Amino acid sequence: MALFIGSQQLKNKFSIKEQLNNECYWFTNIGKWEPSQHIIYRKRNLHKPPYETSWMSLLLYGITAKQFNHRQIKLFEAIWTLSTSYPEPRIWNNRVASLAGTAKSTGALGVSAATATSEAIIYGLQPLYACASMLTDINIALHKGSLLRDLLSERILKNKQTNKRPSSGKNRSVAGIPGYGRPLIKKDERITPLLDLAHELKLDKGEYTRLAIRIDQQLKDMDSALSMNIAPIMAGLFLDQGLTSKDFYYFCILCFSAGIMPCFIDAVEQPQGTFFPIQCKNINYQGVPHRKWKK
Amino acid sequence: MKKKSETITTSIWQEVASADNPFVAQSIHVHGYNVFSDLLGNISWVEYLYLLFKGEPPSAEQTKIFELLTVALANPGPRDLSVRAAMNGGVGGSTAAASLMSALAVGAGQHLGGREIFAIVLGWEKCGCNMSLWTQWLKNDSSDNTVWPKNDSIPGFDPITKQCAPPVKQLLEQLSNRHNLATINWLIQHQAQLEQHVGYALSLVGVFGTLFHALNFDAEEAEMLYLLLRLPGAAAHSLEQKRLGWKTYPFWPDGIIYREPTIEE
Repeated sequence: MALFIGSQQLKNKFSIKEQLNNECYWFTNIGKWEPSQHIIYRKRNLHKPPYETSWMSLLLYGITAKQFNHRQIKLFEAIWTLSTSYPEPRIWNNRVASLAGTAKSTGALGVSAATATSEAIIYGLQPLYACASMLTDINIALHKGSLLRDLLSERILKNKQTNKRPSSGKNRSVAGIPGYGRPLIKKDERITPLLDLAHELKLDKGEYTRLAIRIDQQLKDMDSALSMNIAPIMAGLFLDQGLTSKDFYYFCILCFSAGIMPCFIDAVEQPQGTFFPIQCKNINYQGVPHRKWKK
Repeated sequence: MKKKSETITTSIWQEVASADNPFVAQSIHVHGYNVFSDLLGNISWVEYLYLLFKGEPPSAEQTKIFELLTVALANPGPRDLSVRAAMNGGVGGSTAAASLMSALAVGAGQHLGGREIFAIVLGWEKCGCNMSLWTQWLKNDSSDNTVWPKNDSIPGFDPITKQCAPPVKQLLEQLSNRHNLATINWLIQHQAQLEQHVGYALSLVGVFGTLFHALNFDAEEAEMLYLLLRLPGAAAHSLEQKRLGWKTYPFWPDGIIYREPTIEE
């Protein structure tokens, strides 16, 4: 069915110039609110039965325009619940929420700032997305006949050559084999419960999940110090549902929220400024000696 | 429970504790200068900014250029994407921080935002005043495998016009009349050639990025400063709209054209 504005028939896609010439309109197939009538969410009328009651189901529909069965939605929720919902205020993104709480800022400011902080290099969204992209790329290369050992060696070598490190320095970047290696500790306690639950749901045998585990084994065979953290399992289980690495990125944006929120609440309920306070002497100054400003 | 204090390592800031309270500073030094007994009244805002980032005071010439840049950046105006974001905070009555966080989130982008400045300064670091290096570099190298989305525009060039905008010309004229900067001189000399190569006109962001590089800021420093220095306009416009209220602010009541002809029932 063709759509018109006045006598102008709408094309499927506009150029920048055409968009700018239609500055009073936004053309979309995502949704529309008809005041006092209904809300259209992609192709669905949200206010007509059967009503959607699962927030995770709606979130995934919003991201992908696809609908998922009960087991899949349970898996997506478990990925968040078991992998990324740590109410641990020392973790850097959560700590932002705790600091907002101890500063008596608002919950929305603390949680949104902590969510934005989750797009980090050594943890959170950047390695999660990079890991899903890597699984996709490696899977394509393997189907074309490449060897896993060679693909991993190439990545390790390329990362060494770029002289960019995830942990410190200028222009830091995500690790060459994202998802293998974890700041602070070696063993990832989340892998077993998430795989157990995926097994219960009969969703643990997909090719991306198997690839994630195969990469871990291959790295061990190559005497690498890297070992798998939860990211490849999260990404593998997700990609195995027929979704993309970009879908995975959007899916993960809010995945830390259940851990962030209680960190804010915990700190805001304590006296102000008491969250890990820092004494003057605990600033370890390593700069130039005292000097006088030019007059 | 064993008490173990942890420290923040910095070469920027030093505090000497007062005798009676370990959380109250007796004196504060930034890069060796006493902030409250020496710098206050003697240092300008832009000198202090430069000192914070670079660790040394700017020269008199650098101070003038930085001053010019901070004024040029301070208000992108209410059509700018980041300012519009801040005004949405204001008009709905959001918190002040939400308005500025909105301006930062939108103003961070690869189109007109902090990430575009990052790319331009990186370009200067890699290409310098070398036309052949620039022609290789001036391609869209947006990566699909980072959290930054694919972007079709070329950093430093305006994707909607082939004609250099008057403010860009005025800024370049001011700079060439007042200062003798090798990078700006090179940019003016090669502007037509670069525009022909890219197919679009040099943008204000392109000149701003060049100025950050001329002031010895690296790409990461320039990105941060660009985000920071555009906030005054976002704040002022947000407050103005907060006071005016939502009824005078655009809503486009007939503006959403829903393309999907079928609704699932």
